[in-house]
Amino acid sequence: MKKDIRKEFLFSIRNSRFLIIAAAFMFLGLLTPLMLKVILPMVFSSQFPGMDEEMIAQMIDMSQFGSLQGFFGDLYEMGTVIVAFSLCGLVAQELKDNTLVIPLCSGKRFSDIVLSKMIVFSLVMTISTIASASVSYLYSGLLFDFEVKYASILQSSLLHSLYLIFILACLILVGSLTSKPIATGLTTLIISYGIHGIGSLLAINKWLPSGLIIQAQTLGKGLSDIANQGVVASESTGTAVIEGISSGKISNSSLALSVTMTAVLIITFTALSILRLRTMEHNRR
Amino acid sequence: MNEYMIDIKNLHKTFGDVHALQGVTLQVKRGEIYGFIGKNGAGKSTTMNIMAGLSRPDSGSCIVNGHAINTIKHPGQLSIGYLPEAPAFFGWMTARESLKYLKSNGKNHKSVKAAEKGSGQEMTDIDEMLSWVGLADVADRRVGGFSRGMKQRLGLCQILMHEPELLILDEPSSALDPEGRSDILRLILELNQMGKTIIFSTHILSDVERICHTVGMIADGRMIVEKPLAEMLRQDITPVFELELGSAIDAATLAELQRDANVQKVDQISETLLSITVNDEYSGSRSIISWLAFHTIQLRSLKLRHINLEELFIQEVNGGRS
Repeated sequence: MKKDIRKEFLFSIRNSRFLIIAAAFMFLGLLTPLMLKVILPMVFSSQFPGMDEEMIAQMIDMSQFGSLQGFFGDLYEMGTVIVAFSLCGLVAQELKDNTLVIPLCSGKRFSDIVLSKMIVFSLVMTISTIASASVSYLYSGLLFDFEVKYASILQSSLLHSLYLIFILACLILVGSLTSKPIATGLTTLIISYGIHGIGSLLAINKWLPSGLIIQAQTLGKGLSDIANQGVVASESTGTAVIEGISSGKISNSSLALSVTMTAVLIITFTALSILRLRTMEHNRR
Repeated sequence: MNEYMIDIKNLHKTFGDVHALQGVTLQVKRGEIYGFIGKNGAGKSTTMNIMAGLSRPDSGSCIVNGHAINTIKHPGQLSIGYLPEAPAFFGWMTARESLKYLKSNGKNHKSVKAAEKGSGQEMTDIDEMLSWVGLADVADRRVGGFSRGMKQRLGLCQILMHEPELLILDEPSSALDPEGRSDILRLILELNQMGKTIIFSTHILSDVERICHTVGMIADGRMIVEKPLAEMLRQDITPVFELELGSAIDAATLAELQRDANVQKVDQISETLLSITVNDEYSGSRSIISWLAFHTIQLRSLKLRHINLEELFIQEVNGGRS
């Protein structure tokens, strides 16, 4: 298992997977506060010449809270795409290229192969999420004001990381089923956005991994608090939060449920991937 | 201890509409080199995939190294060395890193010197293994830049990391230049001298003639011949006389030779060149000389040769003789 973990770690470094994910997340972390502070007001001013700063501030939440909500929203929408396409070949490409054949015949176990991928890339995504959220926290704090507790950022980062680990489990399972990297990436994206869509439509997000995304965007305030304060979420962030608030179905108490359901799905998908690899034909041309 | 390292009986395998294996039966004795020959698509790789535990048969029994293939949970349980036709390594790893990754914990390996001497000394040094297969100079180069021949050598190196008793090599010498082929065959012979049982598939029949003890021929998913090479050469390699005549002969005279009981077949290559396949050298030569004398045919030269494995293979595949 140690050797498998080392191999996956080397893979993430040599094939720049770690770099791609970390750099993309960092970029989002820096871009969101900058968009809110500089670019959005400029766009509004150029499009609507009569609009003053006060009017703009009423339309968008120009605060650290709004900026960080925007960051987690972007991380869900764009981060999922980045993760899906940079890690779509994790199992699919190895099956396609038959690179698993020699390790399997050398005594490597399917469970070790799958679990090492889960461990290494879960760490990659958790580290990238926490680091980028911290950067976004500092930068937005400097641009606006430090009004959000760092502990809330850590909690949201961990919730978002858990969601990304669910995406990773999806990628491994779909990859073991299709053996086609691009199809794996696309299918995982459909699953990710589909779950969110269905969850919002049927108001069952707390039963789904998408509940984590909604919880992460509350930044520890709780949806009821946000609703009471009349915070209007900015840009892309907020659809999920506003849906959550308006439906009234998601509350802080649903956090444990979302976490549990996601953990169960991750374990189930991982077990199914191992089972699939164990029963499938290898070394096919 | 079981006499057979591989014991396959009536193996069937289908892929959709394609019946790839149609009752393959094959036995590989402990300590021998078994040459598994057949045309492309005959079912060699499918059979070898099943032997390596990478694929499951639809029906039939396959016992490899004492394990029934249908009962194993993992290919590693077989404790064999398997080299695929196109060994695929992680291209971003160096040769040394690949071997380190694939090396089992706590296992020892035969040393090069031990290998050369055929003794049982142990080796733990990957570098020594790499120099044995001639890859010491490129040990720190990424495998992605290796040629097919270098990958074959690295593949051979990695399967020895676990000291398997049985090696299954799928076309190890195909797509290699003559020097590379010769090296691989030398390595196989050395491994056999170390006591390894080896089965290798190929369509290069001269390789089989050079190193194998037993030959199995497969065509259209069926075994058509399985015999020790020496026995096959003695029994099945038919004598052929090649005659150069002083003048052309007519069809009626030729037909008379064809009717002789000792003669299997007469091929007229040109007006004065004949290739005559006979049942055995002694009676065949008598019949030919009698025929020449009776018709007062001038003989320029007479040469005896035997059908080689390649011709026999073509004959078996096309003629279906068993």
